[in-house]
Amino acid sequence: MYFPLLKAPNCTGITTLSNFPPNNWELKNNQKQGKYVHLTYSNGTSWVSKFLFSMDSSFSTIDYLDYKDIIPDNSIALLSISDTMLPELSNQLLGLVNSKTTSYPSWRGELGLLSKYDKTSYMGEAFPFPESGTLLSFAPFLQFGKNVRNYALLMNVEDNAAHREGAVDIFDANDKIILKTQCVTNNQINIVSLDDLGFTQEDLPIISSKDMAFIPIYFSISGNAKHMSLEHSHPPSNMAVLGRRYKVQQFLKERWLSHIKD
Amino acid sequence: MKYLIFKIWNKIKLFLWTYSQPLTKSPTNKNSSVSDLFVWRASKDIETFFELIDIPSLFLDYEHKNHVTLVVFDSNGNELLSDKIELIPNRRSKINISEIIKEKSMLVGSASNFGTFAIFHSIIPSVFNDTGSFISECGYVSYSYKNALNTYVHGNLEAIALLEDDSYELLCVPSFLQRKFNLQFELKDSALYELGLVNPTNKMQSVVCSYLSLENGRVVKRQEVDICPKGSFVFDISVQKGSSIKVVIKSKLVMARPLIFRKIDDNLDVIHG
Repeated sequence: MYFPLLKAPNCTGITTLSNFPPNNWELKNNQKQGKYVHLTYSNGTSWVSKFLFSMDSSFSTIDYLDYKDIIPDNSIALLSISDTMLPELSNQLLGLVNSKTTSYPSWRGELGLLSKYDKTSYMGEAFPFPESGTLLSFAPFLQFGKNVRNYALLMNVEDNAAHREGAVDIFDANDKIILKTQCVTNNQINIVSLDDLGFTQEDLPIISSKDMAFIPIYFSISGNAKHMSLEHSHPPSNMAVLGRRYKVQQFLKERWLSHIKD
Repeated sequence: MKYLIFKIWNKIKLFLWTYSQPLTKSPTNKNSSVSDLFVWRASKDIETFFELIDIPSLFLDYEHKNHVTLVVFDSNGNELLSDKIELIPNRRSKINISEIIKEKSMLVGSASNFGTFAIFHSIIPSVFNDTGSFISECGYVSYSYKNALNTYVHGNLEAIALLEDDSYELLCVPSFLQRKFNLQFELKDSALYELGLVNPTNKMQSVVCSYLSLENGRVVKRQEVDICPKGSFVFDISVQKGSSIKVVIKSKLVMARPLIFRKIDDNLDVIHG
């Protein structure tokens, strides 16, 4: 698993890693302690991994600004804790860089954004999406007020380091008319402004893509950057519990992705 | 042989933690509507909001009016109110939970300024029954602090079902053994941290929240509480600049993920732990 460094307007990404499991029962006692922290990014053809430091069973905070000179603008920056040193170059993202995994809950990091006056974060992690993935995100996160800005931070990671392009559509759930189409790329955090599209407090914005999958993160920031909010939307499967809930998601995606009016 | 015994022993150990202890058990009735038990807070500085979406309308086209049932519990799990709220298909409606509680439950003056609430959808599209699933509300709560920008946090645990006879069923079962939940979130930065924890089981749960200094490994604070079914508790600790604190929550809750409220000056951030 990987822990991305976020990016958004008027602030910087800051990620805190935890090198201990979230529970005391799921891992075997004899499992090796991961300790090598790497920063991984795509140079367009390969994944490049740089060793940052060794880590004990504690917390460690990494600031995007400390590495901005080496992270290409068109790549996501991924942090990891691994049992072994990673090869400097690889064509595919290394699937399991840490032998320690948990399910109750998943092993996560604190992914945050820092402005001059405020900090906001969520607990998360990233696994590579299949290239055939799609996006359907219902987004009741827009905030309104003088100079408040709203963004979708669309985070994609795929196994293949090669860059490819796609498009996302933004529309209102009520009339399904596309209000904006934006070009996006894989292996990147794509910043999409949600302002100036005419959304009101009662509108339910939807962001969709038939080209690639994303973790859709919603970010609001006040004009003076004194207040911020950050949260991701659930995948549609979270509207169902138990049973074949991914069939429910498939139903919803087929319904909405085919109903969009151009 | 030694390896085989070791392997069997590991399987037995895991079995003790997982057998009959799912995160969410199936509701008794197949036409049940399921919800998270969200944490509400209502005080001079904090208000709680919920982003209401007509989930069934995302699956079906219909003209008639639909509603959800909002149920609010106090910190001891006692029902404060139950209210039907009309929905607008394919629209968003931000409801002020704190205001509803103040208006309808005569809570003003009560010692408790936090508790839980659930949202139950009344229409169940056929795709849920067809797939053996249940419609679930695990959506988005936001909190405003000193009237600034709201901070959003999602729900994540399918905790309670509304059955066809209008009774509630808690869907989480207690663990056989005491578990430790190690919060993978560092408390630091000269801030006040409050941790909201819910009991989604039908038994009273004893919870011990320990705060460990990472400088010397010592427990700097320990809070022990009993939380009633459907109830909640807000733990708190003030962290000094330069300190680094790790939180360990010991209980028989299978998933003791708290909601983290981080207050720094006039800013509040809420994170699902």
